[in-house]
Amino acid sequence: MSLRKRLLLALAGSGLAILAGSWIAREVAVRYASEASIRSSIEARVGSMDQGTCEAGRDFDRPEFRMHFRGPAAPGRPGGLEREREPEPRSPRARDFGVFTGQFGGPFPGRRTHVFFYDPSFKPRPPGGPAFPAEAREGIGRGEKFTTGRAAEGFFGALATEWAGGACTYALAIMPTPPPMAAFAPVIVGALLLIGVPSIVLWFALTQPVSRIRALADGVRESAAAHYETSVKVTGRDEIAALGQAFNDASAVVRAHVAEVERRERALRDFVAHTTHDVALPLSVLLSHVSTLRQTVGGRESEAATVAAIAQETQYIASLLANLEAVAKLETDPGLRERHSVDVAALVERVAVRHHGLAQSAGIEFNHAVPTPPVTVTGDVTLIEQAVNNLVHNAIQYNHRGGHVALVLEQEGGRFSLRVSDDGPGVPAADLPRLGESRFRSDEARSRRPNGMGLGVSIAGDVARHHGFALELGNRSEGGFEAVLTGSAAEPTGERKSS
Amino acid sequence: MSSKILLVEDDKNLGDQIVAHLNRDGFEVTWLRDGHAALDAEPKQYDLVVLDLMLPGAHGLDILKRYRETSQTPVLVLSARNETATKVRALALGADDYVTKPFWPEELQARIRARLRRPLLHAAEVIETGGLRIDLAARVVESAGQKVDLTRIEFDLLAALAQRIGAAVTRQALVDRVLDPDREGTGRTLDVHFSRVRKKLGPEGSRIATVWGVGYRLLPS
Repeated sequence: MSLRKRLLLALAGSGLAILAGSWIAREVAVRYASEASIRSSIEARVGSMDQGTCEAGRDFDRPEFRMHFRGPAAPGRPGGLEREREPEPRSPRARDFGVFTGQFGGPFPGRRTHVFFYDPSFKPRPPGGPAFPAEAREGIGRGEKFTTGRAAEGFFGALATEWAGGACTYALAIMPTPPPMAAFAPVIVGALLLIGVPSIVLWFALTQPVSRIRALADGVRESAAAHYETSVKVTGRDEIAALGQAFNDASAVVRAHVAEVERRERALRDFVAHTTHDVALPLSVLLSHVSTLRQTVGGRESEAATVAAIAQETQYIASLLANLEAVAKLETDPGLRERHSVDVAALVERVAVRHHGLAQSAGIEFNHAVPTPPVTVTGDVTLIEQAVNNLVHNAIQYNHRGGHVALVLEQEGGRFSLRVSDDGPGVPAADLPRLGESRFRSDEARSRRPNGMGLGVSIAGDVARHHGFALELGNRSEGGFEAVLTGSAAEPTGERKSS
Repeated sequence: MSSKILLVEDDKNLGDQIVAHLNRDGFEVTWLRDGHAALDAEPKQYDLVVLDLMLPGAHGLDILKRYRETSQTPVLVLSARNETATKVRALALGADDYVTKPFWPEELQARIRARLRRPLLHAAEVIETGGLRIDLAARVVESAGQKVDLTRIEFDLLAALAQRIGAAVTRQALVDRVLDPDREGTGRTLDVHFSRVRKKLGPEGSRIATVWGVGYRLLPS
C-alpha cells in the first residue's frame, strides 16, 4: 500500500471516529437541552395562570395557546388538535438559539412544544389531548419530580403541579422530534468537511515528498545495478535527504570493501599464476630427466620400479599444478569468457602422448583413437584438456599392473563423445552419485592418495558444466570404470564413409 | 638425412634437456637462447622451429610474426599451460602447434614428428608395410609377395587400418565405414571378418591386433 493511501485511510478512520464522537455528544446535548426546554415550557405555562384559570381552560383565551379540535382522525384529515393560528414569528435570534431558549420551539427550529394538563385519572384537558405516557405515569408513581422520555409523538416531560385533585393535577409537554434526515444533514456536511478537506490538503502536501522518496528508491536501484559504483542524488535537507545520504555512506563502505576483496583476490590469483608458471619450468626439466632415466634403466627390475614411482609422482605433481590453474580459472572466470575453436583430436593426441610413458612404466596398456575427420568444439582448450587429462590420469593411476585404459573420441552428427574406460577396480557404488560434484573426494581415493581422484574428477565435472557438456561417470558392467564426456560439436565437413 | 630443428629457449637446464632428447631422437638441433638472436635467425634453413614465448630481448609472438613474413617453416610453440589466450593467439599468428609446460620430452618429440610427417599423410595409393602391399586403387593385397584373395568387406577393413598404421581404429568407425548395418549387422560380425583376414594374410595376419576398449590396429612392421 502506498504511503499516500495509508495516510488517507488513517485520516478517514480518525475522521469517522471524531464524527461518531461528536454525534454522540450532540445527542446527549440535545437530550439535555430538550429536557430543559420542555421543563421551562411547562413551568412558564403553569406560571402564566392560576389554578382556576387552568381548571376552567381559560388559558385558551390567549391567542398563542388557543387550540381547536379537529375531532377524531378521518381519511384525508389528521385527528387530534391543532393550533388555531400560527404564533407571532419569533426574532431571528430566538430562533437561532431555540435549543437554549426553551419556551417555544426546541433544538429543532419550527417544532413547537405543546403543554397539556391531566386530572388525577390522567384524563386530558382539553379532551382529545394525547394519552399520558405510561413511562411518565410510572415515573410520577415512583415520586420523581420531573420525568422525561420518548414517546411516539416526540420527547416528553411530565410533572405533578401544585394544583392536585383538579383537571390540572399533572402537566405534560411534548416536543415533536424532527424527521431523521433533517438531523443527519448537518452530520453529513460535517463529515465531508472533516474528512474531505484535510484529505485534499494532505494529498497535495504529500505529492512532493512521495515523488522524492520514489526518486530516491529509483536512485538506489540504479546504484545497486551499477554495483554501488554510483551514488544517489541527494536534494533538500529533510529526513528524505538524510536517508539518501545514509545510503551513499553505506554504499561507499560496500565499495571500499569490494575493492579490498578484489585487490586481495587479484594478488592471490597473480601469485598462483606466477608460482605455477615458475614451477612449470623446473618441472619440465625434471620430467625430462625422469624420461632419460626411464629409457636408460633397461631391464633391471628394482631400478625400473623406482623410476616408475618417480615418474608417477612427478607426473602427479604436474597434474596437481595444472589442476590448481584450472580451479583458479574456473573460480575467477565462471562465465568462461575465453571461448575458441578447439581441435579435440589434437587435444586427445596431446593427452595420450603425455600419459603413454606413465602407463608403460605402470605396466598398463593405454590406447587411444580419434576419428579421421576433425572434431571441433567451442570452449577453453586449456580447461577441456585438463578435464580429459584428469580422467585419463585417474584411469591409469587406479588401475593395476596388466590392466587396460582406453581413450576414444568419436563424433556422431553434431555431437562428440569422449570415452575414458579402464578395467581397474571401479568406484564404490556409494561414492558414484557424488563423484562429479565440485570438490568431492571419495574416502577410498583420499586414503590412497591425498588430493587425488575426487579433485581431478570434480574439476572435470566443473569444466563440463561450464561448457554445457555432459559428464557421465559409472562402473562398467564388465568391470572397471568409465567416464564419458559428450557435447555438441561442429558438424563434420569431411566425409565419413569411403566407398 | 636428419631433420634440422631450431630451438629458441632461454632456460639453460630445459634447453640442455630438449637438445639432448632431440639429438638422441636423431634430430639436428640449433639452439638460440636470446630473443634478438632469434629475430635475426633464418627459419627457412630449418625443417621446424620450437619457440618458447617467454624470452629476454623479444617476445616469442613477435618472433613468430617475423618468421611468418618470409617462411612457412612449421613452428611449435612452448607456452604456459593456463594461458589459453596466448595459445590461441599463437595459432592465429601462424604457429602450427603448441606444447604446454610442464611437458614430457616424449610429448615434444611426438608433436615434432607429427608435424614433420604431416605432408606425407594424404599420399600413397599403394601402401607398403613390412610384407604387406595394399593397392587401394586396384583393390589388390599381397602378403609376402603372394596375392591374397579378400572379400570386399575384408579388403575395406584392412585398408581402414593400413591407412593409419600404428593407430587404433574404433569398432564404431570400422562398422560405420565398412559394414552395411542393414545386411552385415554390427559388432560381432566385425570380429568374424577380422579373424578371416588374419588367416588369409598368413604370418602378416598377426600384425592385426585387437585394442582393448577401442577396436583394432595394424601394428607397424
